[in-house]
Amino acid sequence: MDTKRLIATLNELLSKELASEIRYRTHASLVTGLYAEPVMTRLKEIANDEAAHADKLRDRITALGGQPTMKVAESDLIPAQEINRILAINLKDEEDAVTQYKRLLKTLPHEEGTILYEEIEGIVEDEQEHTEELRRLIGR
Amino acid sequence: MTDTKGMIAALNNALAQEHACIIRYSTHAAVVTGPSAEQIAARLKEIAADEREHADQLRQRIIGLGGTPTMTVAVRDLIPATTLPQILKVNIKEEHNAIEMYRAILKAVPHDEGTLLYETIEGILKDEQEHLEELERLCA
Repeated sequence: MDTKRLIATLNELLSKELASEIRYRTHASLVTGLYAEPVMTRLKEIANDEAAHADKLRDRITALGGQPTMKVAESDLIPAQEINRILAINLKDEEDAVTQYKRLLKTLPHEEGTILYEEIEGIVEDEQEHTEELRRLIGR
Repeated sequence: MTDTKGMIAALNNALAQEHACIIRYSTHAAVVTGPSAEQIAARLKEIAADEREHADQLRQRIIGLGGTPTMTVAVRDLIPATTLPQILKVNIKEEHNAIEMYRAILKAVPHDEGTLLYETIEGILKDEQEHLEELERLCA
């Protein structure tokens, strides 16, 4: 992949991370019921991870000579109120994110010490963890 | 604006602006360059963290009033800037606007001792005034 396309891909992922942070924080504030507190805490933790991913992506984009986007992927701002629906929406989104980051990873040169490779690898790892945590909360 | 519906709308409007502020400050922090870049980036990230906290507080107050917190981002506040003077100028102007907005909200809230909403907005207003002072200091 050439640098220009790589920057475009990273910006696309950045706009999804921007949406994820807002979505998780909003869902966290809306959860009600007996399990509201632990679920809310977990959703806020995930939101913090997504914010950290956005920071990492911005630094990689800037290092490649690109401009980090401020655009939010609006189609990922999915409203939900009920706990099962909240978990289902976010599980689906995490699965999509894992797929997208894995696809990007395949196009990067896999050399020891490449910051970009290792950053993306770290993000995939986080998203896989989120997927596992959400599945556990759903009970499957 | 003293009715609940009007208040929820005003708080959601403020929330959409806070969403934009988080993204704007984080992006400006990533693109700033020069000998003072590290210091300025650290300060901008601190302000972004404050705005994130404000968004959380606003969501709680909106839900407290029986409303649904918006996921909307105030796109007009996503103002790109790359040079340090531009960055400071944009954010000083935005903080001025925020202060004005929160002052207007505060005026519409009954000022009784111990009102959660009043104290929350007052706290946010105080933070925004601090941000303004910090940014102006960086300009001098």
